Amino acid sequence: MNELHTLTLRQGRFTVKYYQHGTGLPLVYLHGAGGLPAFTPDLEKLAHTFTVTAPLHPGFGSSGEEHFHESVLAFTLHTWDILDALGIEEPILVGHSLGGMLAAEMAALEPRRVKKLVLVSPAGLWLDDCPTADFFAMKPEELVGAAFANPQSDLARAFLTLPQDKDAANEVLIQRLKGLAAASRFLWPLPDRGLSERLYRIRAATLLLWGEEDKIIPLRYAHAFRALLTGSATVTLTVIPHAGHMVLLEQPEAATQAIIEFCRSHP
Amino acid sequence: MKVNWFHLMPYRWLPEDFRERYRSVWVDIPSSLWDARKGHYLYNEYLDELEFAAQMGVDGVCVNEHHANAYGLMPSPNLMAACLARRISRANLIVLGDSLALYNPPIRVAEEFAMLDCITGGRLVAGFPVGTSMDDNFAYGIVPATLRERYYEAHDLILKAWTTPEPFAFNGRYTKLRYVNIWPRPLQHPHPPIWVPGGGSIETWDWVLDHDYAYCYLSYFGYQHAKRVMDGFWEKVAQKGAEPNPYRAGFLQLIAVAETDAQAEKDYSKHVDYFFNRCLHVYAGFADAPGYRTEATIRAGLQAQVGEAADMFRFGLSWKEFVERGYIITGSPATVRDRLIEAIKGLRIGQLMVLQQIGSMPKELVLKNVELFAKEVMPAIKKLWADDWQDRWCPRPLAERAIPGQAVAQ
Repeated sequence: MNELHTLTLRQGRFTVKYYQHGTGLPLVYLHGAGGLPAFTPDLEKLAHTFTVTAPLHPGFGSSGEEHFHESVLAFTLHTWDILDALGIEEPILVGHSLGGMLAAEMAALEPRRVKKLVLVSPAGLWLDDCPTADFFAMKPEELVGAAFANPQSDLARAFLTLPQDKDAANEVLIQRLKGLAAASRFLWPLPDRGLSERLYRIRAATLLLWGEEDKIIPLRYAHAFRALLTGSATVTLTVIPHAGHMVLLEQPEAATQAIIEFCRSHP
Repeated sequence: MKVNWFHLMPYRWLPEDFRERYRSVWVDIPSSLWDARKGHYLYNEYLDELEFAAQMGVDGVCVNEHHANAYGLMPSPNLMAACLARRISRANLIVLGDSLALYNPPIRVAEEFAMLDCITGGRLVAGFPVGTSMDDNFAYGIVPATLRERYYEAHDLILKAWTTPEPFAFNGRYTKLRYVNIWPRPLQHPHPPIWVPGGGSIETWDWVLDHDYAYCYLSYFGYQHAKRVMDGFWEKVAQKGAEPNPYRAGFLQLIAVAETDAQAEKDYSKHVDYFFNRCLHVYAGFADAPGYRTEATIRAGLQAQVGEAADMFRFGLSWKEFVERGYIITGSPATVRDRLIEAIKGLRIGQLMVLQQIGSMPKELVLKNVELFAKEVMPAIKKLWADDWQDRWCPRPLAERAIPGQAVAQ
């Protein structure tokens, strides 16, 4: 399941690694600033219903992030380029956090190509009276405390456990730093890059999926997204209890069920 | 050997329990701790100290840039340099410097440095730091991943602005200008000497050597700790076949001189403790934003100077340990002289930056420290390197210069 495929784009400027599993309609999963070190159980569940394609963003195992500079447009076009190269015409787009911001940008740029849009605790907006957490400035313990509803769970603690071997542990830390550095191009010092002025262009039926106890991007943002998604065929908000920002990992059953149900009920 | 007198301008009245009550001296320290009336006297006291050091015969005085920082009260180093420009008649003015990526557009640096160079009759050293993560990323909001790209682009623009006598257009990624045309241009030709202060990023060395700039390692942890970094620098010099001229390298050292070794501890101990345990109390999350250091530097294992890793170097240390580890060179003039010569030779540096106002040190102690250093230590170290190497990185001022109060333009 964890096999990574490779493709190159634009005369080798970008090397893209991606997972691909399952059968059914094409669903593209766009990961968040924590990266996607494996084809996780939530994606496995989705792969029973969909053909799931999950590219790694440049800086997170794929390369070429330096060509983005600070351009959200470059990142958005690059991700469409991947889907073009793979022949994915009308995907269901599912994006988490940074990936949610990216999915929304993609749907705003090419509104007619997105079959369904699922934004899972997406980044991209800013509310002065409800700031998103500055996870860039958090120490690992603090980050886990903020990202999970239950920071004491085995799942949460696993993020703090590094390989025994010192070199392997360093490598894990360096890869995390590289990913966060790449994410900083779009989220630093705060994640507003003008998405609020583009959300109106989105046409696809949209599911906003949130962990009830999200401390990174609080639930207030779901309502802000909903208010700005004026062109979407429908907007559904599903809030998952006992889940924080890492809602797909913390409640994979409930979260993936919500996605599957949503896609079924809006054919 | 050149001796340059460095000031950080720390706030001297952080509370006793600062460590316990606040997570950081930098970035999110509340400005309610600042007393502006004290600040009025403090700025003037610190400028007096810089002027006194110049009178005592140091080669240059150094100012630097920090933001949202209670131990570095110079958000604008150019303002401090301007205060000094007409009060210091002989010593060089070393601005270490303007963090290039923070100036928008960066020709502001080209303009202000050119003004300072003209006012001082060509005594300016132009320092081009990348800047710390706390300053650039957290306090000024620059994206960590593109900081260096912005820095290099700003550098190219400034150099071109200084050396091109006609207006030109600049189409950078981060700065676009239809008319680049700075008035005034600097007095030194083609431009003031450029020094690059760094905290030990290995790619900076290549770049500095390719441009033939001076490199200054600004560490608070003394010469023993710096040995590894500076050895790496000299290795790179050898690899590139550059001249192993000590004047291309600078280093900052904390120095506290008293009549005897015992008196030094009595005079300075609590102020040094204030420096290491209050001034350098920086929240680990601010020390090193993801992307601030390049992958190559991280892989080389060079550590950040503040934050958790750096905490291990200083927290809870005693005076004896600060001295033994060489964080501070202190004691009688003879003790300081011997250790300083060992440090200078060991690191092979020709530009010594001395930090003699440390932490909460009050003015009378600073002046004593400077006077003893200038009279009884400096003469011995000034002889080092002088016969064998030429300082190609020092300013070239006019031989005859305007005297403040009596200037007549011709």
